[in-house]
Amino acid sequence: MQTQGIAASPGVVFGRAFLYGEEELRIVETEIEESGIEEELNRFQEAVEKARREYNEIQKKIAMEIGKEMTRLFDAHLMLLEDAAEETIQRIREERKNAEFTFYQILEKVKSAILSTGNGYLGERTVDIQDVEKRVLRNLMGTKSQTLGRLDCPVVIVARDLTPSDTASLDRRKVLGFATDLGGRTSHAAIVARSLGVPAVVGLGDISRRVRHGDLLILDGIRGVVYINPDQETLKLYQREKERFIQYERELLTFKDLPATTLDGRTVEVVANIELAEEIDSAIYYGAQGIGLYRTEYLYLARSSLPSEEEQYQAYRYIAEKMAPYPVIIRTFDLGGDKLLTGQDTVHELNPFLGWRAIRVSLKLLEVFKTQLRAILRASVMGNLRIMFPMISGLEELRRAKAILEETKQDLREERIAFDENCELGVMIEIPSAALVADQLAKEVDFFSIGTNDLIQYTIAVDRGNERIAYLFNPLHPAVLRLIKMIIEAGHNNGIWVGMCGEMSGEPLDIWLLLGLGLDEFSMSPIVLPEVKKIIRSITYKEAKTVAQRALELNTAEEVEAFIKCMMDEKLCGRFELQ
Amino acid sequence: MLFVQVASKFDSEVHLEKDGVRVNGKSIMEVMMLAAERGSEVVIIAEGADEKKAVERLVALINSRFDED
Repeated sequence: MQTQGIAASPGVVFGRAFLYGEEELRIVETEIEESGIEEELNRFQEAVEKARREYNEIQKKIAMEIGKEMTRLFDAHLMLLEDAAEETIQRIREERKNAEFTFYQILEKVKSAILSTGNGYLGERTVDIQDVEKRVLRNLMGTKSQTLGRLDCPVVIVARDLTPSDTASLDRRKVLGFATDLGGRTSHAAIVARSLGVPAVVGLGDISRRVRHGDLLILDGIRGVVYINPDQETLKLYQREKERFIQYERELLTFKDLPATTLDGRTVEVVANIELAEEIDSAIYYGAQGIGLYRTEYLYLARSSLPSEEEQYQAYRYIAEKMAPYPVIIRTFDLGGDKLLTGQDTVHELNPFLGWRAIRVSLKLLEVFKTQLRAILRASVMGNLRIMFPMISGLEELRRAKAILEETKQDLREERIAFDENCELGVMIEIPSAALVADQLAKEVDFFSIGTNDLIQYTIAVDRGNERIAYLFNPLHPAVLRLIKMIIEAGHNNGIWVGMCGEMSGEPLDIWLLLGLGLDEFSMSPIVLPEVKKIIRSITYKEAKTVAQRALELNTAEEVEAFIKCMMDEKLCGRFELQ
Repeated sequence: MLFVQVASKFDSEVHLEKDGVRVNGKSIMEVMMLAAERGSEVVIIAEGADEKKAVERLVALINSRFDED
């Protein structure tokens, strides 16, 4: 059986499916001998105790992150747990069946009794019952709870969707690839897959419902197809495809350590986007000449307290040292304020992308901001670090942020703590307002990095995660191209360099155009580095400028795409072609 | 479930009765199964040293609003 989705990360892989988010528990009914009753009861009690502890942990976490009132939500679970446990113990003694079956029976009875009344409100309470049931059964049966951090063997992860929280604790050595129901080329799963260098197919619609744990999958990240339990013929065919792809990749690898120099001698910087410290090895392997974007959000996610200055310092220092003497650009916190633990009530925003996030949060939560800046500055003596502010919307905001940075530097000077006084400061240009006043901003920073992912969203007013309108998200839209040109020119006119860390800079089709517009630095997922170098080395800067000029004269994204494709087919021996 | 929490605080036995079905007021499972909705009539039965207080308290609780929980 095969299913078509969107190719999000290239490659071909064979592997067993790991369904993330769904748990399958099969209850078996067995009789227990008289002599084994005590042991069975002990086993059950332990499982219950574990569940009790889990709920207490959850309540503690909630108390810290949201507030004490909300912990009441789990009081019902605890009471239910106690009641059900008591009755189960009694019944095990009476009926001498195993704990799983007995417990399951008791709770199922409660559930069906409630559901049969047709009472809507109570019907929702079955969710609570379900949770208690699953939790204890899981503990009894020894099924490890679903975290991607504890995978037993290499698997293909199949899920409805994957969020940064899901992948934050990923055991990357065990991931063969990703397949998700939702998402597009720039969704989180796609980005992580490319950083890890594994294939991914997204936007499959219903794969998480079609696949079961352990199903054999062929993940074709080139064509965007997934085969579930393929037949012999398909397996053989794909074995050949896989070998062809490996061969192609091997050829590409010959470019990885070469400089990104055009045929007529213009050299640009080709660097990597990373978010987890482990990805540094991948970046170095694929020939990154630096880190163009180190996303720091991961230090704040999937944990119950804010990362301390020391903790952050260690993280930044590690990367600085590993990449030295190559530059590393550290972007300050870039998430919604609700992801931080403030102890205040979290406000649900209707438009989070237009809301309280990134630099806006940092400028409000000064302690948190300063802690991060201190950690970065302290680590700056260990290598070649640069600081970058996200989501800057205008000059006033930039000046405020710079003032905080200067305050922090002054503090460190007074404390006699060393930092790199020449640490470069840049901003991400990802909001149209910033692009339009780029000339003003350029006078007050050392560099720009164009964040095309968000720039395109804001400019065309499209949510790249919304499948219905995702077709509108196109980096080659003339409006986007004009803005990029504007940004690069504003930067160069004011003597600063301009890089790009959005997915566009790693998109083979767009390289010549960006090159021709004068982009100085290309930052991308490590796996694409060799191919991008190859593409840069295949043209002269003069020709690239012509490509850019012509492209900007065209009227639609489709025309631009067709034009570039045509040129690339002529010049290069074609990319990896599907047969 | 607030009712069960409050009921459990008392020494007396507490039972809830609706349409002839009587359940243990201190057991969340049983109370859930009784599936009493708003507007339905329930009888609160308490037996023990603090039975009077228990009934008073529980009646007040139910009357007070009881939308969530």
